[in-house]
Amino acid sequence: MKPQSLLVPALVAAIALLVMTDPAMAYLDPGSGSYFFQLLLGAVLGCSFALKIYWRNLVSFGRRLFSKSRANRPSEQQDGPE
Amino acid sequence: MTGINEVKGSFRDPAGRMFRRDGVLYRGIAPQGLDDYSMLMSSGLYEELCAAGKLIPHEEAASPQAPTDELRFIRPREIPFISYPYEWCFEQMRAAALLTLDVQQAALARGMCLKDASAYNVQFVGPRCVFIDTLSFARRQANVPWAAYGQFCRHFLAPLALMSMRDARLAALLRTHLDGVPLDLAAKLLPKRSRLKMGLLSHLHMHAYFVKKFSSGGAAASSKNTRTLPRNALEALVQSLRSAVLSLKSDESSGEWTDYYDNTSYDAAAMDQKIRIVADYLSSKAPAVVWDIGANTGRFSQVACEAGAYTVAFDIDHQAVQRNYLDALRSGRGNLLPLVCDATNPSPPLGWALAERDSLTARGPADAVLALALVHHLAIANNIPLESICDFFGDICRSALIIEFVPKDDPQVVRMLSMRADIFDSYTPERFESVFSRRFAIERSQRVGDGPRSIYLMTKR
Repeated sequence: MKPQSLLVPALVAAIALLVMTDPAMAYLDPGSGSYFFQLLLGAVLGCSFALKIYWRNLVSFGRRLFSKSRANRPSEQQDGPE
Repeated sequence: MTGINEVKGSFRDPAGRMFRRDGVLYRGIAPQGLDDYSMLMSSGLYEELCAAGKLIPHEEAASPQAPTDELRFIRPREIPFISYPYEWCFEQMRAAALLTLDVQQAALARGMCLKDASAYNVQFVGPRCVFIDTLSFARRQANVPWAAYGQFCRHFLAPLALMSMRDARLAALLRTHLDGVPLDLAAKLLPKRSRLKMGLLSHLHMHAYFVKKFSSGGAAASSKNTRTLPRNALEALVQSLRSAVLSLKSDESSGEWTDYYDNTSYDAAAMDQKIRIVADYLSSKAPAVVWDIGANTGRFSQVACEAGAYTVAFDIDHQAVQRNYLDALRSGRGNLLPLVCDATNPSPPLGWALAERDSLTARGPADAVLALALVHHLAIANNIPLESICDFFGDICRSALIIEFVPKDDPQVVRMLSMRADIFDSYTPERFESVFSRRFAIERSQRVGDGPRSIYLMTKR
């Protein structure tokens, strides 16, 4: 899977925290504070997940660029005398 | 109903209930639990978890009773000995926490979710833990937050943090708080340095603040049930909990009894002889289940395991239990379950109507009981009369008792009495034999080495 393909769902995930949905029904009472905190922490973790993917993309792009320029260098030197 | 015995701890979840009929354990699935159960079975999750040894396998069964409201019945594989979180050492608790997170992660990948995260959903078979609540799995409604997040933090993270950063004995808090250690209490008891760990800062300290702040509903109540937590955010939450659990290290401060075998009054030859005597007594009785009371790091529990018995090794010392547990895991000793238990204050019945969690005695009797180098601690260090000690062993033992008597001229007892008045005139081998003869028949007794100690093989009358 391309890293870019994960970026969009992760950002959507973080933003979707603000969207209304069906009520959560469980036999266990999640507790108001616990529930609210989970949403907040989930948003933070979701965003950091998205940022992590963004950062990885940036690093891998930089690496590709760097390795490409290094790969091109010897051929440039070979081409030089001509 | 005739022949039906309800399992008292299974009443909270309306999806089903546990009961025994003619000694066989059943789980009835109520109409409201049937869809989720069907999804567990058809989604591949059940096979995946059972193949990995993470979920208790079961067989579907015909209705063992009629008429009934339940639509389906399953017969889960039996757990040899039910243990409770307040009887686990740190590493057992951590293994149970990681198992719960593994199961939750696998469930999320199949469109399901754990609807509770109780530590009582995990049991140990030997040193391996397994998730036992087949009806904990529910179809995950789109983007609904995890209802059991707070419960996981109370049942696992809070006790683990306290055991790791304060003292392993704080696991006993789970005896008084059956739904897990309240987060505000954990936050108060934890040292300030616990705030430097991101996992504890968020899942415990900040979480505790929110729980307290919104305890009366208020602002959160209006937003409750209306906002969403997408799957990857929930997966990140589970991953964060896993990191928090893994970041905690066991409190390695030396236990009171962990170096017991190094400081014992036996020399190597006498120790070998003691092992031979115990092995000989055990092989003559061939018990299926042995309880080793005061097992320390489990030298004699191993002898019972080698004799083919499923052995539960109890000791008061967390470090000794943990060493025994890790050793059993490493050596693949599948029939040894080490547990923390104070013989002078064993687990009582707890919970609603004193029936949710069984006492130690109610989980017996064991076919055979080992009580080696223990009686002098009970009788002299704790002033327990010999008659009462005999009654206790009579209650927890079905057939054979292998018990060591350590008389007053033993160096250990001399040391114990050096700082206190000797009020134990009746603590003699003759009286020990006469008291225990009331409930047991003394079959054999043997002195160990040149010392004054004797090991008895007794059978229940």
